[in-house]
Amino acid sequence: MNTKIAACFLLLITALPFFGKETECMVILNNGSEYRGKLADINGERFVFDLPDGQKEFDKSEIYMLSFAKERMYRDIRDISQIDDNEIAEAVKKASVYKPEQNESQLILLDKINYRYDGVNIIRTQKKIIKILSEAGKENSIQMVYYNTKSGENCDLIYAITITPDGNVFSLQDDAINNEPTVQDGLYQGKRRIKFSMPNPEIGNIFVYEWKKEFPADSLFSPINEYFYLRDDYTIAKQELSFVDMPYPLEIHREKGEVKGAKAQIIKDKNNITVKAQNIKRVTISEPYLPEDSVLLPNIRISSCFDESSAVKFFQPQIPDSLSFNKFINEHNFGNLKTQDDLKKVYAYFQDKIIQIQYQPSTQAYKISNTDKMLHEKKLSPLDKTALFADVLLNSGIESSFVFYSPQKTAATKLHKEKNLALYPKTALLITLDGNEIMLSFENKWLGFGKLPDKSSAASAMIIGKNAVEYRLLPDVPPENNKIAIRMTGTLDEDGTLHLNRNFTVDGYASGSYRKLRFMSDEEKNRFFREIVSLVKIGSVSKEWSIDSNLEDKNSPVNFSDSLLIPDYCVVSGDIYLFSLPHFEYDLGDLTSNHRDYTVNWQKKGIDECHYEIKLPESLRIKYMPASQDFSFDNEKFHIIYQCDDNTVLNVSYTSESNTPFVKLSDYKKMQAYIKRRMELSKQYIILEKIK
Amino acid sequence: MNRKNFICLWLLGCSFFLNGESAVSSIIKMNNGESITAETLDFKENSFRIGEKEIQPDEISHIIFQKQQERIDSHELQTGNIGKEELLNRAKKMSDAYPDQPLLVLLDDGTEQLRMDGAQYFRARWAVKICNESQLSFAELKLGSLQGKSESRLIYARSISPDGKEVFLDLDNVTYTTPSRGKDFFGNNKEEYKIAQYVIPEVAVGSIIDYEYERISYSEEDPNQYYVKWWFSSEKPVYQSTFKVMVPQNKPYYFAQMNIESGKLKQREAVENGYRAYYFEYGESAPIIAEEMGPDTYEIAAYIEGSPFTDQTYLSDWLGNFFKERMTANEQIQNTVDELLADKSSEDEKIAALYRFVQDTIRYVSIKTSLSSGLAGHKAAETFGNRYGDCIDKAILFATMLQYAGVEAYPVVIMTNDHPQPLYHKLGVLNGNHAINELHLKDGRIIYLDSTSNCYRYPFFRSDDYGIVAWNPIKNTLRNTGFPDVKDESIISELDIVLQKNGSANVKETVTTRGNPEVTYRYFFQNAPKDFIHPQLESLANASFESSHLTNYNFADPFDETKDYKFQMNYKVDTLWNKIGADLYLITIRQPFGFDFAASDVRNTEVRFNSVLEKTHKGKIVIPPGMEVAGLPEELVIESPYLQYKGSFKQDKNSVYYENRYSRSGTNIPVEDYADFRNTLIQINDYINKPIILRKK
Repeated sequence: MNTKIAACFLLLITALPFFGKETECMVILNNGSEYRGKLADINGERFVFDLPDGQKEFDKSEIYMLSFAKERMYRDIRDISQIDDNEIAEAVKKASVYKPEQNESQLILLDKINYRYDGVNIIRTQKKIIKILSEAGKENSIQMVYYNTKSGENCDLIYAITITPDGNVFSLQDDAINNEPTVQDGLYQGKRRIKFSMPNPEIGNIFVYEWKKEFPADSLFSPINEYFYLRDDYTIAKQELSFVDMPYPLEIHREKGEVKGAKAQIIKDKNNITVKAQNIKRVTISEPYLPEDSVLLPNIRISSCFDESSAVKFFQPQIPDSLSFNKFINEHNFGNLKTQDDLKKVYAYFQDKIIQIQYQPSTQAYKISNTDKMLHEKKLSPLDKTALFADVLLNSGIESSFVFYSPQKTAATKLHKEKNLALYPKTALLITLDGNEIMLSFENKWLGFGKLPDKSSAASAMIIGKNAVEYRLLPDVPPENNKIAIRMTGTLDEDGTLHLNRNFTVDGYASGSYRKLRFMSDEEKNRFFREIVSLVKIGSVSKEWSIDSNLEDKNSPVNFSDSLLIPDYCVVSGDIYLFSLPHFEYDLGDLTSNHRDYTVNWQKKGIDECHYEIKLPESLRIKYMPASQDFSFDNEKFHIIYQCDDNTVLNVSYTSESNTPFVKLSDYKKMQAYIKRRMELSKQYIILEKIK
Repeated sequence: MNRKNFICLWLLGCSFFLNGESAVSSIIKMNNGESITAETLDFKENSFRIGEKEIQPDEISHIIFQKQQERIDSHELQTGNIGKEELLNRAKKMSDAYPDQPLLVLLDDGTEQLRMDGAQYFRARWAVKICNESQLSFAELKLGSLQGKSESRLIYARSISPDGKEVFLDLDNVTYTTPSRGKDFFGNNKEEYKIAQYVIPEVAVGSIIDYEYERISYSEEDPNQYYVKWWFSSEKPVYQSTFKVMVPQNKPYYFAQMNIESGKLKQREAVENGYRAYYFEYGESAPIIAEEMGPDTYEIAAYIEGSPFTDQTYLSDWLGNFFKERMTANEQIQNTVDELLADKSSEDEKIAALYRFVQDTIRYVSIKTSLSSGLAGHKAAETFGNRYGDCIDKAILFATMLQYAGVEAYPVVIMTNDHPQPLYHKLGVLNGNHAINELHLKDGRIIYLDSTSNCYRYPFFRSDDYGIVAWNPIKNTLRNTGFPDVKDESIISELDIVLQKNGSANVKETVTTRGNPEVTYRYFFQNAPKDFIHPQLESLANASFESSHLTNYNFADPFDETKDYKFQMNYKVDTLWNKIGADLYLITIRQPFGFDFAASDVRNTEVRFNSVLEKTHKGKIVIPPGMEVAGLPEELVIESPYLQYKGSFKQDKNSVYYENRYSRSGTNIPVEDYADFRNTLIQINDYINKPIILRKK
């Protein structure tokens, strides 16, 4: 008997005892009262119910709702002996002899995922059996939430039961399940979730549940990308992943990870794949700056492959046959684009005037919305903006190609040329203008024309050409793209008060938070500047400020200035004044441990420059000043010069450059030495003393 | 402001029906998603018959019984008559007056009516000018309806460009969707919420958006309850805000006015067609900006609130009866209480044991079906059997168990202190976001406990329940929950530091916590996997001294509730001091008190803390041979109405002893005291950053 037939047979047997049974329901009256019982009769306008404390009758006009419990497997089972399921029996037996380690919160006795194709849809079922070992385990597993991430997907709980050590079974009741939308936006109406709470959650009990998700068998727009981990946060006694009769090819990828994993058995036969593993050990990883699990933990990944020709067919710019599109082009004068400046104008419009939403709102995550809908709502995801922009370009005869890329942090190490959109969640557009390639992105609303987000740096990408898909790495984003330059001039008084003028020039990603200033009222801007003075010292007073650049122009850096008065800036002890450089703080972050087990996912990219010119009072002279320094690690560089030639003006300049996505374990010590040196330097005071 | 009402419409989800004799139809929602409407339902041999069709109950998800609704008549109760030209004039005036504002409200007009049949009607018009891109999303409108309970309709919507061109929305161009409500207090997993979503055409920066909508809600669970609330000012400047309330002439109705500027509110009353109409008009108002750690905008804006009650008496009777019905200890509850209290004799011991049981055993999970379970909770026996419940479920169960144990206890309704407080003392209102317990002890004390969390030992409870009014419907009382003594919300960090010649140090840090601060640590040590504790504590050590390496640690039993919670860390610091030049060594001990909120020197609203706090940093530093103390900060003592501080450094032979105690008993700092209060914080901040100066002998 194949698995499919066996599963149906089991369902049939289990369903039989319920046929014709009275169904429990909840009566909710208009006055808010609730009663649980069974509907016994309807007599015209009168409804009669059998309730636990006798029969009760309500007029139809009194009732707001009758809510019926859905029949689920094991709903009326009260004892383990009534359950005919070898996997549950085996798990219960194993649980009874398991000796947990100290602080072990839960034991996963079975985690079994099955994909099957029913001729129309793919049905993914997951069966999980968990023994609760501590309060923390209870907290982790008592409430489960499963999501439909897009329209066309449909989640449902098949059953959920709790088994006590003495074999009693408590079944989840229908009113303990919420099947609810997850977002309020109409554009996302497909996103729903099933939320349920396990009955009798006591330590020592076993939770068993099975749920399913159905989705269209479409390898382009509903791709499969399932990870089978060989190490986990919890011990897993038995894990299984199977694919039965898949309608499209699947690929198997192995990732060794940075920690040793259990051995897996893989059985592949045409479009059927089964992966099995036992005794998967738990691992607690608590280091900061970690790569994502798919790289860190050993795993086997099964992914579907789409047909490239369907991607090529679908992701092509086209001039929409739409009145609203023509109106849009004419209204904004986007009809005859030729030069890069023309394109910049359109790009600025798309970035500023069309509301940016994070996710693709269409029924399928990678499907582009209808043009009329897009132009009606003017509230677009990066992909929809990309598509509309490409259509606008084509309308002027400029060709472009869709780019899908995998941001560095989420890229699987061996990701290359994979025919699976799920692995390339971000979008860009490649334009060829006068023989030059220009790459644009709408992933970040603060990006300027022709700039790509940091996370796209050297990322794996697929470019959908006219006839074929090209796979390549995106260009490296230079650290200069994220630059903060501060020039600080000021005067120090004899009483330790500092009068400071600051001029900031901020470019790239960091500029976004300052560009928002143009949306603020004057009072809000005043407040913003009053609050940022405290970055120097609490008690600083903002005197005046100005914004010196056009905040709307994302191709130029943001420039703003302020001046502040900082009483008691120096720590004064007798004739000694301790002076620290404003904005020079640097700490170790969380990289404090001398020991490291895993690669550091550092992901820092940018340049900080600062120049100080502080006039000293005549009565003070410099007693001590740190030496100028220049040190580096990999692509991290730091350079500082201290000068005070005639004891009148203190001149200090530093440049700090970061361009290190990952740090290998073997380089960790060097990295730590670098940031520690930088931290220690930031704590150094410049010492002034009174001239006697 | 009508925006808020707009959202409240479906969030509150109160149920309304007509009281008339109109026919009731049945809407049958099938498990497969289908929907069938039937005028009559037959039920024979355990199956429904609708016409020729036979349906098994297990095929049905739920049936809603819906009375035929009155259609909304868009011609009655017309609001205002402000035309395009007037809006353009207003836009110009407001742009001149507020050139920096992103949005200008030109007209905010609303009408609320309690109809003779109990239905509640609301109609509003909103006209605004969009001044920059950040406000473009106002072009999107959402109107909520709840099948069988309320119905909303957009009357018109248009955009007006600066040159006067107006474009009306095609009302048929609508998208319907359902909202999220998973976390709502009044959540219901089967009610049919629906949102109609529109986008006003051709809205650009500079456009005026003008729309009007209406909503009818069919009589509530309790038709005697009818509340209105209207904000005249907001975070945006408003040119004019008008509001009209109509109630049947024979029904008394009361208003409370809040934050109204003197002479600014015009009001009158009239009798119109059997209704008493109350008219309110508020002139131009400047934008209100909420401040960090200050009251919410909607608390300081000008508003009125209306209710048919002057106090809570009626509502106490209504809700109190729901509570009393649910507070029955069945046999299982009684057995459990007997078992838990078998060896407990004092009242305190009994309360502590039951408090622990409800926190640990009844998980906080909110799954609701109707207003009665939403507001009044499930029956104690049901929550006890399910082993889960939300705040009101747990409060009902806890009170039931305590009552059975002989402790006088009640579930009470509160609004946590991070939200604007209900106007309990001005009107009778049904308002709150949380439920806790009020206990009347035998010695006469009245205390509060909140069983929704996990690690609170008796008599401590969540700090967001402090200092607010608790409404006890069963007793019909309003009492303030108060604040604890400052000693009961404390953290003491004691360092024992042995400094080495090379600047490294061995540190023993002991942390003792009491009240809310202890909960974080109890929870952490109860739940964190062993491998996780070391790095977390090392990170904590690094918060005191960077480049600290944890050598070992120990912690008190997190389940032992007999004493304050304590843990200890031993760590090595690579470089404790900061070497300056050839002969000076500075040691600064980080003692963050969290004063960032005082960054601004100007403040328009009071500072609010949700609790009192005492933080003590103290310790001893043993100086290595060959070094001596070159300078110690002088003692600082501050006595203010809101806080006490004492910082001192003393040398005794080769050791430096220090102690800094910050004890803040003040929770509300008025604007007039802010400057002084801030100065004390700056003084403290400067003091704790002063280093100990050592030099070589």
